[in-house]
Amino acid sequence: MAPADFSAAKQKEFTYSLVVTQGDITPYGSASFVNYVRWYNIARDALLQWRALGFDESLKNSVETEVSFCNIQYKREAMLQDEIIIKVNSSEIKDNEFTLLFTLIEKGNALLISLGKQKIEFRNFKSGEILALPQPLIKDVLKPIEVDEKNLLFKY
Amino acid sequence: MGMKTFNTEFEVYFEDISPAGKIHLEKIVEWMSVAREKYFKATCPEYLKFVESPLKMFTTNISVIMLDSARWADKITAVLAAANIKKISFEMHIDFRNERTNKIIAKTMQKVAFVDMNTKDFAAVPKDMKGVIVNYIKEA
Repeated sequence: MAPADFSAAKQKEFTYSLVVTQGDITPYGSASFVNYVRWYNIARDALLQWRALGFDESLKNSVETEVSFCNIQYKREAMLQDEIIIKVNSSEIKDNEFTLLFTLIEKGNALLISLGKQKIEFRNFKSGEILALPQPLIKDVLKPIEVDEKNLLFKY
Repeated sequence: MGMKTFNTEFEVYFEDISPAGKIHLEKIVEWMSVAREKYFKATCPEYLKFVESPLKMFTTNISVIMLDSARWADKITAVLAAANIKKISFEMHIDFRNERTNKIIAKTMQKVAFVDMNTKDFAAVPKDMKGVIVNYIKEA
């Protein structure tokens, strides 16, 4: 039984919308798999906007987002002019690494198009050092959309 | 005897790399697509007939592990081998090797399956294609 204070409204996520454009599609009329990577990266970078991350001022021009692992499952085709929504959640938040989970659905009918996963860290590209995650990033950006992957309906 | 692989050469341009020297994820996945198409074009004599047939090959899953960096003008070799060949699907494992450092910069996997567009049902891997990919099976 769900706890008394359970509410679907508490299931938070970051969302990003886009439209499948002419340049995304193949002769089959559907978006090629390469585009899903690009779309997930756009959604990721919209979430991780530098002003909110809390890195030290001196690091702001030398921090790079690094994806050490990426997995994408393709469930359905995305067709030209489809309006799609990418829902983003976080999981496995560690000292210097976290995971983003992407759920790509069609806006009109909520059909699942794709699932994606990225393991992310931040590197000081001048020194090569992997940086600890700043507390504001964890508290304000990642924790509000955190899920436990083990409890999810989908396997990412 | 060593494993038979299909190799495709790429060169790193400025737009392909980040300040840390990481090849952009989008570029690696684009190179996976190019390596796959070159492989089929070079090894399957019936590739044009396949494109015009109702049989469609589609990607069901890809994964990428990023391992090392590169710099402008590096030569990268995509080393492709087949794995997990099943009735309707198989995997292509493509490792990207930086020829300057001799290090693998990314290990990738792409799983593909086949659908008959007339019936919308899954279809078997075409015989001529299967006859080729079994020659490139990845060593365990």
